[in-house]
Amino acid sequence: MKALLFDLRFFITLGLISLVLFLVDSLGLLKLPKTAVQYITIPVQYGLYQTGISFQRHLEFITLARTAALENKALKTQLANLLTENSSLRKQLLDNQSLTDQYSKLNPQTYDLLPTRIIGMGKSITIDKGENDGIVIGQVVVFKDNYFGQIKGISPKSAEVLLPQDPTSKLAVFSQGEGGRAKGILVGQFGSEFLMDKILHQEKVSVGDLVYSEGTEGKLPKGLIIGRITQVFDRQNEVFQQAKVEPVFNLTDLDIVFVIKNP
Amino acid sequence: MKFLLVLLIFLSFLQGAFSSLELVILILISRSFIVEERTNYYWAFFLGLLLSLLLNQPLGILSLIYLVAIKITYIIKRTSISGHWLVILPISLILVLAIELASVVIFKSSFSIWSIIFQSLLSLPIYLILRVWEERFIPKKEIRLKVGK
Repeated sequence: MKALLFDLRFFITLGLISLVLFLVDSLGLLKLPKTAVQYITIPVQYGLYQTGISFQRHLEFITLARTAALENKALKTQLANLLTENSSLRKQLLDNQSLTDQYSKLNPQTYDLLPTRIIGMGKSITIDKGENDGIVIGQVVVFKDNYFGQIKGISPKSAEVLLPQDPTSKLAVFSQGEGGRAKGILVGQFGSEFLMDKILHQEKVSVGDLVYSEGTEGKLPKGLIIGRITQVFDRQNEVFQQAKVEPVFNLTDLDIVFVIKNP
Repeated sequence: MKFLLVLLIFLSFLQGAFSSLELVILILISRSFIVEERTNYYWAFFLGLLLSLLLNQPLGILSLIYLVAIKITYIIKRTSISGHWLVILPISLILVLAIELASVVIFKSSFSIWSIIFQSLLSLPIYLILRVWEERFIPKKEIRLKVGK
Protein backbone atom coordinates (compact mmCIF):
# COMPACT_ATOMS: atom_id res chain seq x y z
CA MET A 1 0.00 0.00 0.00
CA LYS A 2 2.84 2.29 0.98
CA ALA A 3 4.65 1.48 -2.24
CA LEU A 4 1.51 2.16 -4.22
CA LEU A 5 1.04 5.53 -2.60
CA PHE A 6 4.69 6.40 -3.21
CA ASP A 7 4.32 5.34 -6.83
CA LEU A 8 1.22 7.53 -7.21
CA ARG A 9 3.00 10.46 -5.60
CA PHE A 10 5.93 9.98 -7.94
CA PHE A 11 3.61 9.86 -10.94
CA ILE A 12 1.73 12.98 -9.82
CA THR A 13 5.02 14.84 -9.22
CA LEU A 14 6.34 14.08 -12.69
CA GLY A 15 2.94 14.88 -14.17
CA LEU A 16 2.88 18.23 -12.42
CA ILE A 17 6.42 19.02 -13.59
CA SER A 18 5.34 18.20 -17.14
CA LEU A 19 2.32 20.44 -16.81
CA VAL A 20 4.41 23.29 -15.42
CA LEU A 21 6.95 22.85 -18.22
CA PHE A 22 4.10 22.94 -20.73
CA LEU A 23 2.72 26.14 -19.27
CA VAL A 24 6.13 27.80 -19.01
CA ASP A 25 6.98 26.77 -22.57
CA SER A 26 3.62 28.02 -23.81
CA LEU A 27 4.52 31.40 -22.35
CA GLY A 28 7.78 31.30 -24.32
CA LEU A 29 10.06 31.32 -21.30
CA LEU A 30 12.01 28.21 -22.33
CA LYS A 31 13.21 29.49 -25.67
CA LEU A 32 16.80 29.93 -24.61
CA PRO A 33 17.41 26.47 -23.06
CA LYS A 34 15.50 24.88 -25.94
CA THR A 35 17.73 26.63 -28.48
CA ALA A 36 20.81 25.52 -26.57
CA VAL A 37 19.74 21.88 -26.57
CA GLN A 38 18.73 22.04 -30.22
CA TYR A 39 22.33 22.96 -31.10
CA ILE A 40 23.11 19.34 -30.23
CA THR A 41 19.92 17.60 -31.29
CA ILE A 42 19.39 19.18 -34.72
CA PRO A 43 22.70 17.94 -36.29
CA VAL A 44 22.04 14.45 -34.96
CA GLN A 45 18.47 14.56 -36.21
CA TYR A 46 19.63 15.89 -39.59
CA GLY A 47 22.28 13.16 -39.88
CA LEU A 48 19.73 10.51 -39.10
CA TYR A 49 17.28 11.99 -41.56
CA GLN A 50 19.91 12.05 -44.32
CA THR A 51 20.92 8.46 -43.53
CA GLY A 52 17.28 7.44 -43.66
CA ILE A 53 16.75 9.18 -46.98
CA SER A 54 19.92 7.63 -48.41
CA PHE A 55 18.83 4.20 -47.22
CA GLN A 56 15.41 4.77 -48.71
CA ARG A 57 17.03 5.72 -52.03
CA HIS A 58 19.10 2.55 -51.99
CA LEU A 59 16.00 0.49 -51.38
CA GLU A 60 14.21 2.41 -54.10
CA PHE A 61 17.12 1.69 -56.45
CA ILE A 62 16.79 -2.04 -55.81
CA THR A 63 13.07 -1.88 -56.53
CA LEU A 64 13.68 0.26 -59.60
CA ALA A 65 16.40 -2.08 -60.84
CA ARG A 66 14.05 -5.01 -60.47
CA THR A 67 11.26 -3.16 -62.26
CA ALA A 68 13.69 -2.08 -64.97
CA ALA A 69 14.87 -5.67 -65.45
CA LEU A 70 11.27 -6.86 -65.82
CA GLU A 71 10.50 -3.98 -68.14
CA ASN A 72 13.61 -4.74 -70.19
CA LYS A 73 12.57 -8.36 -70.52
CA ALA A 74 9.06 -7.35 -71.58
CA LEU A 75 10.45 -4.85 -74.09
CA LYS A 76 12.80 -7.45 -75.55
CA THR A 77 9.86 -9.81 -76.08
CA GLN A 78 7.87 -6.96 -77.59
CA LEU A 79 10.78 -6.08 -79.87
CA ALA A 80 11.14 -9.69 -80.99
CA ASN A 81 7.40 -9.79 -81.73
CA LEU A 82 7.61 -6.54 -83.66
CA LEU A 83 10.62 -7.77 -85.66
CA THR A 84 8.74 -10.95 -86.53
CA GLU A 85 5.70 -8.92 -87.49
CA ASN A 86 7.85 -6.54 -89.51
CA SER A 87 9.53 -9.43 -91.32
CA SER A 88 6.14 -10.97 -92.05
CA LEU A 89 4.83 -7.65 -93.37
CA ARG A 90 7.92 -7.18 -95.54
CA LYS A 91 7.41 -10.65 -96.97
CA GLN A 92 3.76 -9.87 -97.66
CA LEU A 93 4.80 -6.63 -99.33
CA LEU A 94 7.31 -8.46 -101.52
CA ASP A 95 4.67 -11.06 -102.40
CA ASN A 96 2.25 -8.32 -103.37
CA GLN A 97 4.93 -6.56 -105.38
CA SER A 98 5.79 -9.79 -107.19
CA LEU A 99 2.12 -10.37 -107.90
CA THR A 100 1.66 -6.85 -109.25
CA ASP A 101 4.79 -7.18 -111.40
CA GLN A 102 3.64 -10.52 -112.66
CA TYR A 103 0.16 -9.30 -113.60
CA SER A 104 1.69 -6.35 -115.42
CA LYS A 105 3.59 -8.80 -117.66
CA LEU A 106 1.16 -11.65 -118.19
CA ASN A 107 -2.45 -10.58 -118.27
CA PRO A 108 -4.34 -12.34 -115.42
CA GLN A 109 -7.46 -12.38 -117.58
CA THR A 110 -5.63 -14.52 -120.16
CA TYR A 111 -3.46 -16.55 -117.85
CA ASP A 112 -4.69 -18.05 -114.61
CA LEU A 113 -1.57 -17.58 -112.49
CA LEU A 114 -1.02 -19.38 -109.22
CA PRO A 115 1.65 -17.84 -106.97
CA THR A 116 3.92 -20.41 -105.31
CA ARG A 117 6.98 -20.35 -103.16
CA ILE A 118 10.22 -22.14 -103.92
CA ILE A 119 10.87 -24.55 -101.08
CA GLY A 120 13.73 -26.59 -102.51
CA MET A 121 16.33 -26.38 -105.20
CA GLY A 122 18.63 -28.92 -106.81
CA LYS A 123 18.68 -30.19 -110.37
CA SER A 124 15.00 -29.28 -110.34
CA ILE A 125 13.10 -26.94 -108.03
CA THR A 126 10.31 -27.81 -105.61
CA ILE A 127 7.37 -25.48 -105.08
CA ASP A 128 4.89 -25.37 -102.20
CA LYS A 129 1.74 -25.96 -104.25
CA GLY A 130 0.63 -29.33 -105.54
CA GLU A 131 -2.24 -31.47 -106.68
CA ASN A 132 -4.57 -29.99 -104.03
CA ASP A 133 -4.11 -26.56 -105.58
CA GLY A 134 -4.96 -27.74 -109.07
CA ILE A 135 -1.43 -28.21 -110.37
CA VAL A 136 -0.99 -30.88 -113.06
CA ILE A 137 2.05 -32.25 -114.87
CA GLY A 138 3.16 -30.19 -117.84
CA GLN A 139 2.07 -26.78 -116.50
CA VAL A 140 4.55 -23.99 -116.94
CA VAL A 141 6.34 -22.07 -114.18
CA VAL A 142 7.11 -18.42 -114.90
CA PHE A 143 8.32 -15.24 -113.26
CA LYS A 144 7.06 -12.08 -114.96
CA ASP A 145 7.30 -13.17 -118.61
CA ASN A 146 10.30 -15.45 -118.10
CA TYR A 147 10.08 -19.16 -118.44
CA PHE A 148 11.45 -21.18 -115.54
CA GLY A 149 10.38 -24.73 -116.15
CA GLN A 150 7.61 -27.27 -116.43
CA ILE A 151 5.91 -29.34 -113.75
CA LYS A 152 7.28 -32.87 -113.99
CA GLY A 153 6.10 -34.43 -110.75
CA ILE A 154 3.38 -33.63 -108.24
CA SER A 155 2.34 -34.55 -104.76
CA PRO A 156 -0.76 -33.26 -102.91
CA LYS A 157 1.10 -30.32 -101.35
CA SER A 158 4.16 -29.76 -103.56
CA ALA A 159 5.38 -30.10 -107.10
CA GLU A 160 8.69 -30.61 -108.86
CA VAL A 161 9.68 -28.35 -111.70
CA LEU A 162 11.91 -29.45 -114.57
CA LEU A 163 14.32 -26.61 -115.37
CA PRO A 164 15.53 -25.88 -118.92
CA GLN A 165 19.07 -26.45 -117.64
CA ASP A 166 18.21 -30.12 -117.07
CA PRO A 167 19.83 -32.32 -119.78
CA THR A 168 16.49 -34.09 -120.36
CA SER A 169 14.76 -30.80 -121.21
CA LYS A 170 14.22 -29.93 -124.87
CA LEU A 171 12.28 -26.89 -126.05
CA ALA A 172 11.51 -25.33 -129.41
CA VAL A 173 12.72 -21.72 -129.19
CA PHE A 174 13.51 -18.76 -131.35
CA SER A 175 15.89 -15.89 -130.84
CA GLN A 176 15.05 -12.34 -131.72
CA GLY A 177 17.58 -9.58 -132.13
CA GLU A 178 18.55 -6.65 -134.31
CA GLY A 179 19.95 -9.04 -136.95
CA GLY A 180 16.75 -10.99 -137.26
CA ARG A 181 15.07 -14.11 -136.02
CA ALA A 182 16.50 -17.63 -135.66
CA LYS A 183 14.81 -20.86 -134.70
CA GLY A 184 16.36 -23.68 -132.76
CA ILE A 185 16.06 -26.31 -130.07
CA LEU A 186 17.03 -25.47 -126.50
CA VAL A 187 18.83 -28.31 -124.82
CA GLY A 188 19.77 -28.43 -121.17
CA GLN A 189 23.40 -28.64 -120.15
CA PHE A 190 24.91 -29.50 -116.84
CA GLY A 191 25.30 -26.22 -115.02
CA SER A 192 23.46 -22.94 -115.10
CA GLU A 193 23.53 -22.41 -118.87
CA PHE A 194 21.81 -24.15 -121.74
CA LEU A 195 22.47 -24.57 -125.45
CA MET A 196 20.40 -23.40 -128.38
CA ASP A 197 21.05 -25.96 -131.10
CA LYS A 198 19.93 -26.70 -134.63
CA ILE A 199 20.15 -23.08 -135.84
CA LEU A 200 20.45 -22.80 -139.59
CA HIS A 201 23.54 -21.04 -140.89
CA GLN A 202 21.49 -18.56 -142.91
CA GLU A 203 19.68 -17.39 -139.76
CA LYS A 204 21.23 -14.49 -137.86
CA VAL A 205 22.12 -15.07 -134.23
CA SER A 206 24.20 -12.68 -132.16
CA VAL A 207 25.30 -12.23 -128.56
CA GLY A 208 22.68 -10.41 -126.46
CA ASP A 209 19.69 -11.65 -128.44
CA LEU A 210 16.81 -12.79 -126.29
CA VAL A 211 15.54 -16.34 -126.66
CA TYR A 212 11.77 -16.97 -126.55
CA SER A 213 9.61 -20.07 -126.37
CA GLU A 214 8.02 -21.26 -129.58
CA GLY A 215 4.95 -22.60 -127.81
CA THR A 216 4.79 -25.90 -129.58
CA GLU A 217 5.12 -28.06 -126.43
CA GLY A 218 1.77 -28.79 -124.83
CA LYS A 219 0.95 -26.13 -122.27
CA LEU A 220 3.87 -23.80 -122.96
CA PRO A 221 2.70 -20.41 -124.28
CA LYS A 222 4.53 -18.73 -127.13
CA GLY A 223 6.80 -15.76 -126.47
CA LEU A 224 8.04 -16.42 -122.93
CA ILE A 225 11.61 -15.24 -122.39
CA ILE A 226 13.94 -18.12 -121.79
CA GLY A 227 17.29 -16.40 -121.68
CA ARG A 228 19.90 -14.31 -123.38
CA ILE A 229 22.52 -15.50 -125.86
CA THR A 230 26.02 -15.18 -124.41
CA GLN A 231 28.11 -16.95 -127.05
CA VAL A 232 27.59 -18.07 -130.67
CA PHE A 233 29.32 -21.11 -132.18
CA ASP A 234 29.25 -20.59 -135.96
CA ARG A 235 31.43 -23.38 -137.36
CA GLN A 236 31.19 -23.76 -141.16
CA ASN A 237 32.07 -27.44 -141.04
CA GLU A 238 29.02 -28.11 -138.80
CA VAL A 239 25.55 -28.53 -140.20
CA PHE A 240 23.96 -26.13 -137.68
CA GLN A 241 24.98 -23.15 -135.60
CA GLN A 242 24.88 -23.31 -131.80
CA ALA A 243 24.52 -20.63 -129.14
CA LYS A 244 25.07 -20.58 -125.43
CA VAL A 245 22.09 -19.17 -123.52
CA GLU A 246 21.91 -18.03 -119.93
CA PRO A 247 18.73 -17.22 -117.98
CA VAL A 248 17.82 -13.57 -117.41
CA PHE A 249 16.86 -14.16 -113.75
CA ASN A 250 18.75 -16.18 -111.23
CA LEU A 251 16.37 -18.58 -109.54
CA THR A 252 18.12 -18.26 -106.20
CA ASP A 253 17.17 -14.56 -106.12
CA LEU A 254 13.46 -15.32 -106.32
CA ASP A 255 11.02 -16.21 -103.56
CA ILE A 256 7.87 -16.45 -105.58
CA VAL A 257 7.23 -17.95 -108.99
CA PHE A 258 3.91 -18.47 -110.78
CA VAL A 259 2.32 -21.53 -112.30
CA ILE A 260 0.20 -20.92 -115.40
CA LYS A 261 -2.87 -23.07 -114.84
CA ASN A 262 -4.63 -22.42 -118.18
CA PRO A 263 -2.26 -21.59 -121.00
CA MET B 1 19.18 -1.23 -19.01
CA LYS B 2 21.72 1.25 -20.38
CA PHE B 3 21.49 -0.41 -23.77
CA LEU B 4 17.71 -0.03 -23.75
CA LEU B 5 18.02 3.62 -22.79
CA VAL B 6 20.48 4.26 -25.63
CA LEU B 7 18.16 2.43 -28.01
CA LEU B 8 15.22 4.51 -26.82
CA ILE B 9 17.15 7.75 -27.32
CA PHE B 10 18.15 6.57 -30.81
CA LEU B 11 14.54 5.68 -31.57
CA SER B 12 13.46 9.10 -30.30
CA PHE B 13 15.77 10.71 -32.84
CA LEU B 14 14.49 8.35 -35.50
CA GLN B 15 10.91 9.22 -34.60
CA GLY B 16 11.90 12.88 -34.60
CA ALA B 17 13.39 12.55 -38.07
CA PHE B 18 10.61 10.55 -39.68
CA SER B 19 7.74 10.73 -37.13
CA SER B 20 5.88 7.85 -38.73
CA LEU B 21 5.65 5.32 -35.89
CA GLU B 22 5.24 5.84 -32.12
CA LEU B 23 8.13 3.47 -31.42
CA VAL B 24 9.16 5.03 -28.10
CA ILE B 25 5.78 4.75 -26.43
CA LEU B 26 5.30 1.23 -27.83
CA ILE B 27 8.52 0.14 -26.13
CA LEU B 28 7.62 1.95 -22.94
CA ILE B 29 4.15 0.37 -22.81
CA SER B 30 5.60 -3.09 -23.46
CA ARG B 31 8.28 -2.61 -20.80
CA SER B 32 5.74 -1.33 -18.29
CA PHE B 33 3.67 -4.42 -18.97
CA ILE B 34 6.68 -6.63 -18.23
CA VAL B 35 8.41 -4.77 -15.40
CA GLU B 36 6.69 -2.43 -12.96
CA GLU B 37 9.46 -0.02 -12.07
CA ARG B 38 9.73 3.67 -11.37
CA THR B 39 12.35 3.87 -14.15
CA ASN B 40 9.52 3.67 -16.68
CA TYR B 41 8.12 6.96 -15.36
CA TYR B 42 11.53 8.57 -15.61
CA TRP B 43 11.98 7.35 -19.14
CA ALA B 44 8.47 8.40 -20.14
CA PHE B 45 9.12 11.86 -18.70
CA PHE B 46 12.55 12.47 -20.21
CA LEU B 47 11.91 10.81 -23.57
CA GLY B 48 8.65 12.77 -23.79
CA LEU B 49 10.65 15.96 -23.29
CA LEU B 50 13.25 14.91 -25.86
CA LEU B 51 10.59 14.00 -28.42
CA SER B 52 8.77 17.30 -27.82
CA LEU B 53 12.02 19.05 -28.53
CA LEU B 54 12.76 17.00 -31.64
CA LEU B 55 9.24 17.29 -32.99
CA ASN B 56 9.15 21.00 -32.21
CA GLN B 57 6.16 20.64 -29.94
CA PRO B 58 5.49 22.43 -26.63
CA LEU B 59 7.63 20.85 -23.92
CA GLY B 60 5.91 18.73 -21.28
CA ILE B 61 2.81 17.71 -23.18
CA LEU B 62 4.25 14.46 -24.58
CA SER B 63 5.78 13.68 -21.16
CA LEU B 64 2.36 14.04 -19.61
CA ILE B 65 0.73 11.82 -22.26
CA TYR B 66 3.44 9.17 -21.91
CA LEU B 67 3.21 9.25 -18.08
CA VAL B 68 -0.55 8.71 -18.27
CA ALA B 69 -0.03 5.85 -20.74
CA ILE B 70 2.44 4.18 -18.35
CA LYS B 71 0.08 4.67 -15.43
CA ILE B 72 -2.83 3.11 -17.36
CA THR B 73 -0.61 0.15 -18.30
CA TYR B 74 0.25 -0.36 -14.62
CA ILE B 75 -3.41 -0.22 -13.65
CA ILE B 76 -4.33 -2.82 -16.30
CA LYS B 77 -1.37 -4.96 -15.26
CA ARG B 78 -2.72 -5.15 -11.70
CA THR B 79 -6.12 -6.40 -12.90
CA SER B 80 -6.93 -10.07 -13.50
CA ILE B 81 -7.16 -9.70 -17.29
CA SER B 82 -3.43 -9.12 -17.66
CA GLY B 83 -2.62 -12.81 -17.16
CA HIS B 84 -2.27 -13.58 -20.83
CA TRP B 85 0.57 -11.99 -22.76
CA LEU B 86 -1.66 -11.26 -25.77
CA VAL B 87 -3.39 -8.58 -23.68
CA ILE B 88 -0.55 -6.31 -24.84
CA LEU B 89 -2.33 -6.07 -28.19
CA PRO B 90 -5.58 -4.41 -27.00
CA ILE B 91 -3.62 -2.30 -24.48
CA SER B 92 -1.36 -0.99 -27.24
CA LEU B 93 -4.30 -0.45 -29.55
CA ILE B 94 -6.24 1.59 -26.97
CA LEU B 95 -3.24 3.62 -25.79
CA VAL B 96 -1.85 4.36 -29.26
CA LEU B 97 -5.34 5.30 -30.41
CA ALA B 98 -5.70 7.63 -27.40
CA ILE B 99 -2.27 9.20 -28.06
CA GLU B 100 -3.07 9.70 -31.75
CA LEU B 101 -6.43 11.25 -30.90
CA ALA B 102 -4.75 13.53 -28.38
CA SER B 103 -2.25 14.56 -31.11
CA VAL B 104 -5.12 15.27 -33.49
CA VAL B 105 -6.82 17.46 -30.88
CA ILE B 106 -3.72 19.23 -29.55
CA PHE B 107 -1.37 19.42 -32.55
CA LYS B 108 -3.97 19.13 -35.35
CA SER B 109 -2.01 16.24 -36.86
CA SER B 110 -3.40 13.71 -39.37
CA PHE B 111 -5.00 10.46 -38.29
CA SER B 112 -4.71 7.01 -39.92
CA ILE B 113 -6.46 3.99 -38.49
CA TRP B 114 -4.21 1.61 -40.50
CA SER B 115 -1.14 3.14 -38.92
CA ILE B 116 -2.65 2.58 -35.48
CA ILE B 117 -3.51 -1.05 -36.27
CA PHE B 118 -0.01 -1.59 -37.63
CA GLN B 119 1.58 -0.05 -34.54
CA SER B 120 -0.60 -2.21 -32.28
CA LEU B 121 0.51 -5.31 -34.15
CA LEU B 122 4.10 -4.12 -33.92
CA SER B 123 3.79 -4.04 -30.15
CA LEU B 124 3.60 -7.84 -30.10
CA PRO B 125 7.12 -8.55 -31.43
CA ILE B 126 8.42 -5.60 -29.35
CA TYR B 127 6.87 -7.10 -26.24
CA LEU B 128 8.29 -10.57 -26.93
CA ILE B 129 11.81 -9.25 -27.65
CA LEU B 130 11.72 -7.06 -24.54
CA ARG B 131 10.49 -9.94 -22.44
CA VAL B 132 13.35 -12.18 -23.58
CA TRP B 133 15.75 -9.27 -23.04
CA GLU B 134 14.50 -8.53 -19.51
CA GLU B 135 14.39 -12.18 -18.45
CA ARG B 136 17.71 -13.30 -19.96
CA PHE B 137 20.01 -10.30 -20.06
CA ILE B 138 19.08 -8.10 -17.09
CA PRO B 139 20.60 -9.25 -13.83
CA LYS B 140 18.13 -9.48 -10.94
CA LYS B 141 18.80 -9.01 -7.27
CA GLU B 142 19.72 -12.19 -5.53
CA ILE B 143 16.85 -13.97 -3.84
CA ARG B 144 17.77 -14.69 -0.26
CA LEU B 145 15.87 -17.25 1.63
CA LYS B 146 15.20 -16.52 5.26
CA VAL B 147 16.38 -19.46 7.29
CA GLY B 148 15.01 -19.74 10.82
CA LYS B 149 14.08 -16.65 12.74
